[in-house]
Amino acid sequence: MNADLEQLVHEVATLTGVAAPAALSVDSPTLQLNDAAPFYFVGLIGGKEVGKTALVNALAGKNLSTPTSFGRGTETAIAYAHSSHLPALQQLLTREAPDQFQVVAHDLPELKHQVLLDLPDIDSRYENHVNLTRKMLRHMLFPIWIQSIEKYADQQPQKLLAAVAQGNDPANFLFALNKSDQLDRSSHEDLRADYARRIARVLELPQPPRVFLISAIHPDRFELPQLRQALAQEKSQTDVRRSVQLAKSQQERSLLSWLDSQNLPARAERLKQLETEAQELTAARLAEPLMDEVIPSILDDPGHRLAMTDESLTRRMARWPLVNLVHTLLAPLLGIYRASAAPGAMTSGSLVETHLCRSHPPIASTIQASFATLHRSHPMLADLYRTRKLWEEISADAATAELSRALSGAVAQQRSAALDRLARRGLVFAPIRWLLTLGALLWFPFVQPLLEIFLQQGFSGFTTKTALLIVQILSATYMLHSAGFLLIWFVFLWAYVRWDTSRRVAKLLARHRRADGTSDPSLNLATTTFAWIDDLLDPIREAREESDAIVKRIEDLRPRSPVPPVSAL
Amino acid sequence: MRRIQPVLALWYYHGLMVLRTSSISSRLQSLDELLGSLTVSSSIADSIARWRAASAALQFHHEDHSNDPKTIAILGGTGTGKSTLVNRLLGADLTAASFRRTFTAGAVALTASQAGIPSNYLNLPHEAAKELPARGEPDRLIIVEHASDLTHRTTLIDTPDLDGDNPAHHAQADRAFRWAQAVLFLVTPEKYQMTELLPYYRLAHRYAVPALFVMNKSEEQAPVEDYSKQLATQGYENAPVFAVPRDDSPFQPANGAGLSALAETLKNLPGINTAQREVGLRNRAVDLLDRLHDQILAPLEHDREEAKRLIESLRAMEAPEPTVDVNPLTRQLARRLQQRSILYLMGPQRILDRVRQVPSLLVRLPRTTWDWFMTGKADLSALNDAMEGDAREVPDFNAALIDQFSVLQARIEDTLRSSLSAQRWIESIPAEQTESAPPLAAPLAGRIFLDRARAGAIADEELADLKSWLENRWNATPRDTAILMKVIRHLPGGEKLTQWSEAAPYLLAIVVATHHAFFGHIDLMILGGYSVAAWLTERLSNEVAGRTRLTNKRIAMRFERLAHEQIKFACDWINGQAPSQQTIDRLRKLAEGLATDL
Repeated sequence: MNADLEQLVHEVATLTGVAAPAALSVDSPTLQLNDAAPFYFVGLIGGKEVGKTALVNALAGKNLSTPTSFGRGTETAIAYAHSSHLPALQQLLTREAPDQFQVVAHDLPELKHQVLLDLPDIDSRYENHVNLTRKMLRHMLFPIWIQSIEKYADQQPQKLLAAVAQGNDPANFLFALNKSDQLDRSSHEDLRADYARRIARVLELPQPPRVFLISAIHPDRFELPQLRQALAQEKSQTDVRRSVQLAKSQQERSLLSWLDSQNLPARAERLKQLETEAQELTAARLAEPLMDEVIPSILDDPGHRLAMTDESLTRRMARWPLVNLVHTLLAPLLGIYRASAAPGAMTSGSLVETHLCRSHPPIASTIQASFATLHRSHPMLADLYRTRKLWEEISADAATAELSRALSGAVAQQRSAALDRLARRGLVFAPIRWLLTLGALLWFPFVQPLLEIFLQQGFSGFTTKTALLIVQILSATYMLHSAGFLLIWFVFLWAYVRWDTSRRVAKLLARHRRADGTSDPSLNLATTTFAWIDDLLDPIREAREESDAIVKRIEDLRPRSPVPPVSAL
Repeated sequence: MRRIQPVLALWYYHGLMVLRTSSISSRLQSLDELLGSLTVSSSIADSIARWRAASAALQFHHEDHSNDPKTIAILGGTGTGKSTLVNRLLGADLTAASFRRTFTAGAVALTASQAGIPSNYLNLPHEAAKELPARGEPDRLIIVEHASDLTHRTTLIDTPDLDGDNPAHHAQADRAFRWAQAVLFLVTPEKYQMTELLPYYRLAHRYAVPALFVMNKSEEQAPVEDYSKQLATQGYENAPVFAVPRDDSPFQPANGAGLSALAETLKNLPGINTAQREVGLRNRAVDLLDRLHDQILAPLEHDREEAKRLIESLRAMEAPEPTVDVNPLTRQLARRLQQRSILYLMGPQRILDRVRQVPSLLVRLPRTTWDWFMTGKADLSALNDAMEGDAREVPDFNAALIDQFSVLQARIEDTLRSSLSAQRWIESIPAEQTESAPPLAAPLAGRIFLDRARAGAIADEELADLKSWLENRWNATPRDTAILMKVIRHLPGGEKLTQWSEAAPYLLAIVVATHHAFFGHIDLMILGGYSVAAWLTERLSNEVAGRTRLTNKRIAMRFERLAHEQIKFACDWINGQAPSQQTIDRLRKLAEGLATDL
């Protein structure tokens, strides 16, 4: 049996919770294909006293066993085989039917590979009879279904025939109606048609199969000669291979038809519809308010901007000598300003939390309601979300907490990215910074006055003037002046750096707001939100993908061109 | 005298049995009626139908039919020659036989006159044969009138097969067996070992139905003897097996075992004695009782238990809180009424509101100045924060309530689907041809779930109410102001006083700032008391908050009521799926009564 197909059937059975087809169970009478077998079986399957043994004897042309007319009848499998295959045959029969077989050997070269089997009945009160027959059917490529004119409409043989047909192609079957001699000739064709129609109904054949009308006690009359003719010569290797191929494709067909009966494409279709609906619903109810309200309000939050500005400012100030003193002095003032402009919302977590809570209706109840709506229209949702019932309060709250965590993570990342970006160490700017700070400290109080005198006076008289100037410079008035001017200078520098920082922060935030994907996705709140929504819909998507994959695999396994059915004989 | 004695004996026993039989009969009758009135899911309905058919058969056996010819059912596999045997016994071509199998599809009765067959026999419509030979049809009893020695004493019932490929035939044959007063098992050498007959051997023995065994198409004596041996293991030791030879066979059955002997035996079918009959009837009733317990009462009780459990868990279910607050709708009006209230203008609240705005005004001062300098416009929105929050959209209360209602329905459905019985009930709901709803939810919609739009309607109605109230109040004077106005109008210069009262908070601020200069502690306390009183009165007199609360409360209440109605609706549906406990108790009581009668 096709291993891929079998694997697929088991997967589908676990997916849908339906029992696997009976043909795959261990004790089914399904044909077990074995390409390497050196011989093939032709066996007689039929009810009690329909004349199986008589027919076997007629076919073999000699008495293999004694026909009975009452009682338990044939109890063992009787094999009529070429002597060269005896060891292999005996091994097989010992394995399948220990102590329940007899082997009659012959040396007919034209029947070298064909083993003829006589089997017990399939419809009496002796259970071991039907069990033995079922076991042997698993090896029988060419069963001959034989019924008597009395029994041909019985239910039990038809059930067995249907079960066997799951694993073997009806083209490999032969149908014989025994005891034709008990009827008038006039009703023969009628009866043959009736039996063939019943077989066709059981096997779902488009055309009634050929039925041999025979009479085992009159080997020369009716159609027994034709039947014997068909079995007197062993089948060629190609024919056997063809029959094996037919049986194989029949097994595939029956598994495929089982798969078809599971309505998997319909299931896939339903899942696809569910996915579309879920996507639309979450887009309308979750994504839209989050995108339109919550995320802009987070990004616009003055507290967020100020926190970013202040952090990067502190970092930048660390590299401005002297101005950082001013910054330290102004820090408390800044804190007061920040507190009044944007109360609370300082850490990324509390920021996101505040804005999420502000949304109305609450995110958690929106999740709950959306999934409740989906659950009502698609009951299969209950199975998909077995471990995470989003229409229940607890799971919805947990999902909201996840969103909050994801968003605050993104916000924190934004902040650290802003820090890295704004507080980059610039080598070119370092000399300028030194010039503007330490340079100013030297220039304004000391260098500039000295240089001014020096340029006015020339080098003559320099010493006295210089001495005077130095004395002036060291005076309290002059130093107060200088200190006052320097303070204004440094505050100006600080104000410039702060303005520059907040400008750049605003630029960064504007870039974050645009969800154009140019920036790192982990920084993007919109991307984070969409990832979270995707995560909510994950079970649906997974189930849909699994279902689609199975449907596709079924289509792949479906044979492109069916093997043309040929008559077995 | 020898002929009278058995009749007397029969009469005597009959007299003894009358009471008990009639009481069993009436109990069966009432059980039958009670079961017939039940509406249950399909699987139990099938067992009930089967049980009622068997019960009708038992009632027939309870009745006195000693004056009618005995009915003999001919039972066997397909192709054993049941119809042929009947024709041969009666010597005429009366019931259609064919080499085609499963030919007879329903029972055919062969009787001397139609009056000899009880009117309700087989509980099927009776129909006289239109043509001869008659062919049995499903679900009716075809009657063929043929006067002969045999039919005067017995009514032969030709039945469909027991083992063919049409299961409907088996049910017809089973029914004929259950109503028959004697049974003739017909086999052939091919079929005497078939499995389908084994339960009927056992039942015929158990119900004390006289059984005859015939092997048709015999060709030798050995199978007949083997059959006899097989019968011995089934409880029929030494039962005679009649043999009918195949047409073309030279086999002659032993004397007294052929067709003519069979006809004789049928004519003089030995009556079973009363004790045996009683045992048979008792066994039939016991089997019926067992079936009632196993196939009907137990599943019904299980269903009832499940229904009870489900109803309990649904009743315990809490309706979700409607998370609806109409505050955003009314805030604007509240603010407007406040600004129109004298007490607000007089009280400290206004100055406190202004003070609260100071820091943000200061913070924005540079930006505002810059804007004013550059564009000539200043953003003074911070000054009138009254409008803050109005820009916020009013949420969709209708959708919110529908959502909450869906949550409740999802919970109910979860509970239902957790029970296998409930799933079965849901599946047995006939699918309606609705295109709009998804296939699985559709049958539940009208039966278990109320229309979700009703939840939305609550919000719509209450909000319409609130809105009309808001519109009425929009230009109304606040309550406190109205009262004060009335009082002040009587004072001279009252109008002026009202205008001046707006300055009160600023005066108050000045007073507090300079209290060292003019006032002492007592005055300050008086002023504080005035402020608190003015503030509180203004707060309390603002009716908007009260109205908001009222609307919220009413929405919550109505939603809860709707939720309870929904739960009750679902409970009612569940309740309807299983018969009530009283009915089951009555069934059980009747069954117990029957058990004591036996």
